[in-house]
Amino acid sequence: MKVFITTNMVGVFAFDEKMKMVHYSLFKPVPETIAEKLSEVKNGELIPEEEELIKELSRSGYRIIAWDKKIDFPGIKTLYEPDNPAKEKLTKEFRKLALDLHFVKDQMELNKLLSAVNVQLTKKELRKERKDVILMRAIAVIDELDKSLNTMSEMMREWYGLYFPEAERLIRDHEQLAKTIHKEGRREKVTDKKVQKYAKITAGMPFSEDELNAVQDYAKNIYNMFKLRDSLSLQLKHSSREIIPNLSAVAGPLIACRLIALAGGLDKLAKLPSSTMQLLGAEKALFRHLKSKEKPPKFGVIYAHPLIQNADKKIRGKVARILASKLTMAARADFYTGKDMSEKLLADIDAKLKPGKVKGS
Amino acid sequence: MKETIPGVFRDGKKIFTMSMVKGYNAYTKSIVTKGKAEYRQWDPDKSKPAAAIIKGLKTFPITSGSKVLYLGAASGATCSFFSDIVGENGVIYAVEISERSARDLNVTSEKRGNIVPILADARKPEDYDWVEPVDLVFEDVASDEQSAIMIRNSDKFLKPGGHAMIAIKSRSIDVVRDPKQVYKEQIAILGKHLEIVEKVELDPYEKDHMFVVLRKK
Repeated sequence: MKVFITTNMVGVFAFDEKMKMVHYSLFKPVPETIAEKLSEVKNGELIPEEEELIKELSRSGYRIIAWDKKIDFPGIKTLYEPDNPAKEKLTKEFRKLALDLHFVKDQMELNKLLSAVNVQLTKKELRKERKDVILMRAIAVIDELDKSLNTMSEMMREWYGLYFPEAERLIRDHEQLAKTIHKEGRREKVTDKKVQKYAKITAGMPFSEDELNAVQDYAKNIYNMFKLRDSLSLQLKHSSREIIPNLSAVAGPLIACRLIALAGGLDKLAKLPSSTMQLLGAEKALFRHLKSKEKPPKFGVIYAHPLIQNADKKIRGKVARILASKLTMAARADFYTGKDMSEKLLADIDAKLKPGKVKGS
Repeated sequence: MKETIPGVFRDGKKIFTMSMVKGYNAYTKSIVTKGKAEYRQWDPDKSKPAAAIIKGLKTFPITSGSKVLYLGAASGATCSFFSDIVGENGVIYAVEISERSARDLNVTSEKRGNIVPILADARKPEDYDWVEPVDLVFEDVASDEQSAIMIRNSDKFLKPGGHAMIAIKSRSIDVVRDPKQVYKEQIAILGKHLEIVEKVELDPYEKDHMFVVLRKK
């Protein structure tokens, strides 16, 4: 005799070929317990209730079991039939069954339990580790820091420039200037050789002690943010080398993480065609092109890649296409195998970009 | 405060639902208390069904005790109003693909007890095939496969004679083409599988959106 076994949040059920219920085993109506059992079932594992039920069925003389698992059982024949009629029947009639078998006292209680079980299941799913999501958050912070630091540094320049314009002009690097203002500040104390000689003949206006303190405070915070930015990006480099060895070798850790963030995860990036990879981050230009007659963009965030930066303007588009094709492979290698094949990818790119091989149009 | 549609109350230009969980003030601008009952304002700028109702939608097939499959539940804002309407005897199966949104949806579900959060892809109904037959399928998913998603899900889960509602996002289907044409084409696709009952454009609450009510033959 053949019997169908199917499981849902109420319990484990066996139906015969006429869809009459022959055996069942109810779960305890506790959300955490049921969620635990259901996720085991979803992973294709055998739970004790199912095992018990099968033993019971075997004693009752059933010899063939059809269900959605690929597990063998001694002394009984098991068939893998994931879409069996019993499953459909249980889905349709689980409310009636739950009440008839006194699993719950009314529909309201069943709804509450149904909700609670799935809240637990979702929680379980959310707890799963996702390293790429961590990278995405970190790169978002780094990019935002870069943007803010730029505006804040510009303002610092304007402010300090009132007091010591020569220093502002000669120290071009934002971080360096922030450090000088924070650590030295007063004109006479500035140790930079190029600037020192202007201390006495400056075109700057006098600042009171308080006024100078204020701009120094501001510069100190900017300087600390620069240090924070550096330590975050160092940390990102380390972790991306582990998590996404191929992408970070081919794209560089920062661009690699930006690509992941734009795609919405490593899994999604790995499924993109390389034409999309090439234009990630250039959506605005792309849609402008689609809507009007404007030229299509050649690159998105990969624009910052040294290979494109150093390429002749005429061949940049082609370099971008070659780079994107290898990035696509890198993303897939990182997501599907995790194996480091970056050396081969980099060698491939080198071979394709041999001088004279890529011609401008 | 007048009940213009079962479960939906109107006061001038504002619409409300009756709170199932008292003092629950998430996703609403204001809570109004009348006698023992508490009403949550349903903001048409933030929720498409609310916009459709304010724009004059006549068929609103959710009532107390309804079983609803909600595709694209996001953080559960609109879901919470549906949850008010269906009450404790109804249930909302809320499918959401984004883990970030599901985190909030889970909190909403935990507070309300009649929302069943499902972290899954609405394009693959086989991943949540344990869901029971429902009275209504509602879809608010930003995808160019919107109509296909609706057809697949209503084929699988909607009871015969049951309703479906969809917010067609013209821009998700084709940013370039005229929304009017996109609506026409999508409605033609949907019309092959489901009967078109009513349609309302959501302008100015949502740009380039059309709200369509359908019925399974």
